[in-house]
Amino acid sequence: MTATNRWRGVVALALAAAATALVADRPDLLLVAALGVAFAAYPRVSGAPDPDLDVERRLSDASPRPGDEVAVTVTVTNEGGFLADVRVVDGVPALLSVTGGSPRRGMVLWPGRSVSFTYRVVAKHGRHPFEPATAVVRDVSGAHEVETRLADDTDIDCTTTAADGPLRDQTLDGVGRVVADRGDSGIEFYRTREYRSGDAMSRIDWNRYARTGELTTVEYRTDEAATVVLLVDARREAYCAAGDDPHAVARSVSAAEQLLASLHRDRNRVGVAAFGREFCWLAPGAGRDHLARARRLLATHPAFASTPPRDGAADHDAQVDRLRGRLPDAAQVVLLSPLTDDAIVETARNLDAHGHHVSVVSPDVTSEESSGQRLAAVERRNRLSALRTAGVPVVEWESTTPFVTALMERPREVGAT
Amino acid sequence: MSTATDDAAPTDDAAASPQLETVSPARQPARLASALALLAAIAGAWRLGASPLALGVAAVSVGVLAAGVRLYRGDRRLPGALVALAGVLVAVGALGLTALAVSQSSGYLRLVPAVTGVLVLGVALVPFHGTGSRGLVTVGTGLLFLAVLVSGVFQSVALGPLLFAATASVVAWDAGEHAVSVGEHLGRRSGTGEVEVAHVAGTVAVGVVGVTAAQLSGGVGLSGLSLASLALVLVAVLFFALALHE
Repeated sequence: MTATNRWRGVVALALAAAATALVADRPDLLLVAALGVAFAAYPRVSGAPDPDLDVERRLSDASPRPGDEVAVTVTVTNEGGFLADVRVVDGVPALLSVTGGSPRRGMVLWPGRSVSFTYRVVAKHGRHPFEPATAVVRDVSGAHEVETRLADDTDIDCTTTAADGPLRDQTLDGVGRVVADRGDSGIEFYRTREYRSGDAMSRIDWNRYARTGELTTVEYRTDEAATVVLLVDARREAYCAAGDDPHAVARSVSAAEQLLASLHRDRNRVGVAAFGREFCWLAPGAGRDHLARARRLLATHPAFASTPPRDGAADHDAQVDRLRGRLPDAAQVVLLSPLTDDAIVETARNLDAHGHHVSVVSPDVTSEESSGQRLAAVERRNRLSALRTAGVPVVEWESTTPFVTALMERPREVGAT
Repeated sequence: MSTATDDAAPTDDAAASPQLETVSPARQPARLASALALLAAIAGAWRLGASPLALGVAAVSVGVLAAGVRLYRGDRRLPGALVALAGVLVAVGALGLTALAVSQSSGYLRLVPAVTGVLVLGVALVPFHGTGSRGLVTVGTGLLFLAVLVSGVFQSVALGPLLFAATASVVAWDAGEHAVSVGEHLGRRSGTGEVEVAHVAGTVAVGVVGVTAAQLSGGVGLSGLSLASLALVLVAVLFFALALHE
């Protein structure tokens, strides 16, 4: 409970009236002072509220197609005593925008009363869990305020679209489409080389031996899945947004979900990691169970919360060390970061230098409205070029463009090692 | 650029078009509580003896100002600014009418601050930008309370109207502050009416109880008290107020 202290000024009014009454010898004003004291006593009488609320969310369509409007009906029920001033703000998923109605409602709740309100959002591609609704409850005088979060696990699942092909056979899991630049025992021809003792008989190019009398060995491309770790920058510095757009962490998480889906479809081993209020790690893996686990992690892990961390910054260097300790050898890293400071650039170059191929997807949250914002945009461009100079490919993601298929190609371009 | 126009609620036509308009919460002081605050302030100024004509003109000026601000915030900058300017001119007229209607010389000290307070409160609750100003709400209702004190000193009104006007200034401040607070939390486009009514009703009830109690004790014959006993009562009130302040 917090005290709003909004009635504090009325004590000053009472004292001013009393002082004037004394100086000017006016009993009437003393009664005005008494009136002021009555108002000063008011918040003491009304007492602090003790809310016991329950929230229920209903969707007109829980798995819509992108662009569909979904009506969200929120019902708040009072399961405690009388509440004179309840302000509810529903936790609309960060990436969805409200197109009709209002996700906010003020209500007076006597015991047992339920109040419903409806608003509409437009579905976008991806899975969009609702945040808990926030209720600010004040007593009738407004002097005491209690803020509670009302959770009701709901999400809009907008991932099953006609554009997505059916998943391929699971038996092929673990074999990547990423082309390996290394000869071994695969199927696709890679090169021929001089015979070395110990090479399998079946690999010797007998036609060539018949023609020239030289023993050569045929090599095939090795079939190998790429191991990719999607690393989301969810530090406090990354919680920034241009205007009314969703902040960079929300966009990074959304991009990570889409990359996760496409990388899984291509049978790569994908892991998830995040820097933020706490370190988040899911070891690379394949298969539908792993995909589901990764999605759940992206939706529920506290590091990806939609509000910035309140307390001081976590130890970034320690988190980098933990990540390096866990990254499998030769794992690629796709870093999703708005690049709002130099530490994350340093981290990317550091990981790259330690043999993990790093590529960066950077949601653009800069704008050109004030000189400070222009300066931030210039600094970000400098960081982008510093990364490119260091050989790290960077994809810039403007807020106006959707997270396109071109981006999904990116990890494949980098290639497996 | 803000899309916070009051008429941006999407229609069925908008729902049919592929490009849906995003609704943003209009974080301006809640309408009902703002209106109640202005009403309370006007009633207080009226009980202090301000000319009803001047108060009517003041109310009109706030209405015109609100219309202008609505246009202005709806990205019709020039017409909005012109209408708002007209509102300001009407407000100046209201002040002029107040001054003209004054009969005693103390009236200038009492009624001009009272009507100015009403106008300042109006400006606070129809903000050109931002979410409304708690500071201006306090200044406006403070001016009204100042008028109450001056009226008390000059003994220009009876005890009843004096207590009424004092209560009205507190209710106006409370409703104005509540309007700003609800506007910040929920915005103008959400259903907030019942919360505003409940809150203002609570404050009015306390005001009624306070006024009744004060009038009862006034009837006991407080005016016959000596200054020394008054001072003792004052000290008692002071300690009570301090105890509440802790």
